[in-house]
Amino acid sequence: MSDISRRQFLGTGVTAMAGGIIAATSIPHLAFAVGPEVSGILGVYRSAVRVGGRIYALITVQGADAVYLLEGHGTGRFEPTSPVEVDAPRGFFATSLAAHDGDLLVCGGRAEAWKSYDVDDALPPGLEAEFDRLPRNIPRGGRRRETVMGSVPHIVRISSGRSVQVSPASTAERAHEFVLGAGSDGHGLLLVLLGHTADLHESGEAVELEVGTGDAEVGKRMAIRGRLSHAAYASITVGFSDAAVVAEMDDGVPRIAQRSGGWETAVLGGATRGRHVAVLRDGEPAAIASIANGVVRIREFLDPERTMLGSTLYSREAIDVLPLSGDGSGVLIVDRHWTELVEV
Amino acid sequence: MSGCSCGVSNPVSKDYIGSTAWELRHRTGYASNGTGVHGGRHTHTFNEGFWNQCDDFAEDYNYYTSTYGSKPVDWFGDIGIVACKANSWHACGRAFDLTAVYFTDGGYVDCNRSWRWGLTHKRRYLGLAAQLRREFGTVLTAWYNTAHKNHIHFDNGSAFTVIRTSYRSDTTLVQASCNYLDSAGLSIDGVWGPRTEAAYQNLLRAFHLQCYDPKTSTWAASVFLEKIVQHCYANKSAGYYVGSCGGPT
Repeated sequence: MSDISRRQFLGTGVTAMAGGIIAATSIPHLAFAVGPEVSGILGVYRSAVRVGGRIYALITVQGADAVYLLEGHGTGRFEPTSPVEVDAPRGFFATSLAAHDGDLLVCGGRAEAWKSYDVDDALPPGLEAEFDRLPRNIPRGGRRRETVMGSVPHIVRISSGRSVQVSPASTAERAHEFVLGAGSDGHGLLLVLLGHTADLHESGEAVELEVGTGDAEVGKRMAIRGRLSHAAYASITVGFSDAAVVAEMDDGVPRIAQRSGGWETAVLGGATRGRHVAVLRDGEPAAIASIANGVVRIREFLDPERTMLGSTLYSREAIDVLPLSGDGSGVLIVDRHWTELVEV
Repeated sequence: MSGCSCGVSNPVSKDYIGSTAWELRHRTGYASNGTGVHGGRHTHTFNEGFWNQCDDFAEDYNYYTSTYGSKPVDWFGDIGIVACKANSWHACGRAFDLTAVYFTDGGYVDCNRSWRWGLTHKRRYLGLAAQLRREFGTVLTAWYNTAHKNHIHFDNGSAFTVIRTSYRSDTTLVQASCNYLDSAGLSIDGVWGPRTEAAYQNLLRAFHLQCYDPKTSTWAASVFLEKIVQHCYANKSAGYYVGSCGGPT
């Protein structure tokens, strides 16, 4: 467990930092991480994956999502190269990257009309006089149909440079459902982590999680019990023989759910609040990486049930940590001036 | 569209909403009585259009708290605007997590405590939520789900609209209004059933607004919510301020 190897990915320069930061305010419950620059502009690293020995990153630059190949230059320095061409449908939003059968998967959701209802913007006779203070935000129109937009799961599979659209099955009762992450096990089975809004239609943020299996279709769904906290980030890390989902539930306690445990959630004993991702070794969850208060820490599991965390194996100041599914294992640590691959 | 990518378009950095004196203060913890502990003035990045709406909300809110409760706004508490989270309006600076409003007389609405405290505080919390709802289509309170028991989330992902009986957020807001202004004794469960419908009709009649339909008319919805705000900050039961539809029948 102690043999942590590091490779440091360096951004293209420190001097360009001053003018480009969009926001890096301290928001304890909701981190906004601005990472190394991409083509001279600071980007937000959202997800990373290793496919065929190559590492790709989903990076948002000035509000636009793009997938970049992270490439080294022989000096230990790595940086994003040109964007990977992704042909996504209108309304697609990306959440994460994954790998399956040697292909790169761009996971997310696709905006779709969920329901609609009639609204009357006409000002009824006499009503204006009822107001003490007249609202400024209501148009003086007539009857109209208001459409409520929702989202459905969607994956763009990049196969030999060609984009193939994959639409996992969705549930009509849910206003919002999308793929939060995915990964391929040792048998080539694709596991898909779905986030959805359950019976809460107002917000697009996921409140519950499910894991589905399948490729083009998500088959039987396995529930991960409990509701997510408002600030929750949920991630799935898939290895050869096991997979783990880590998320913070609405009691504020991080939990882990493993495939080998039937996806029942277990409290991560000893974990503090913050964002956590599972780190795999030999295809199984071996440690937890967390980011809290600007410090990334990696702690190994102490017990066979993998719910108690032991001493810190790795610690350093950074702004984010991303799970790294795909071939091999590890996590990608992101800071303002560099990205670092840590393998446990 | 249900959310946005990580990054704020048309960003503006602001340390206040409404008046420049109404500073934003970040909640850093809790006092022993459950109220939030907030730091000094701090700056957030907002989407400009969203900030303009926050500005309108703050000015209107101050009008009602001052006029009906003699409580001018002093400052607003928060736990964040921007967060890179999947399918969230926080990702592009179009959502606000509000923790408290403090008034110049030292009074307050605390979003962790007021909704579960005495009637006066419950009404202040309700009035805050109702005024937010007059500006924004999505307002999520402690009655909506436990994730919002310590802050009110609002965003401009959808525009102000009618009272939606199929939406938990609107239903709980109406149920709380019926309970705390008209002693309806409802369970605030987010389900619009016959008891909620009857209590809602009673509240409309108490407001003398029964000749309007807040479920289909945006203007009627706004005046219904305004009546709730007026009563909350005057700390009066329904019927103290009335419309022109005539008395209860």
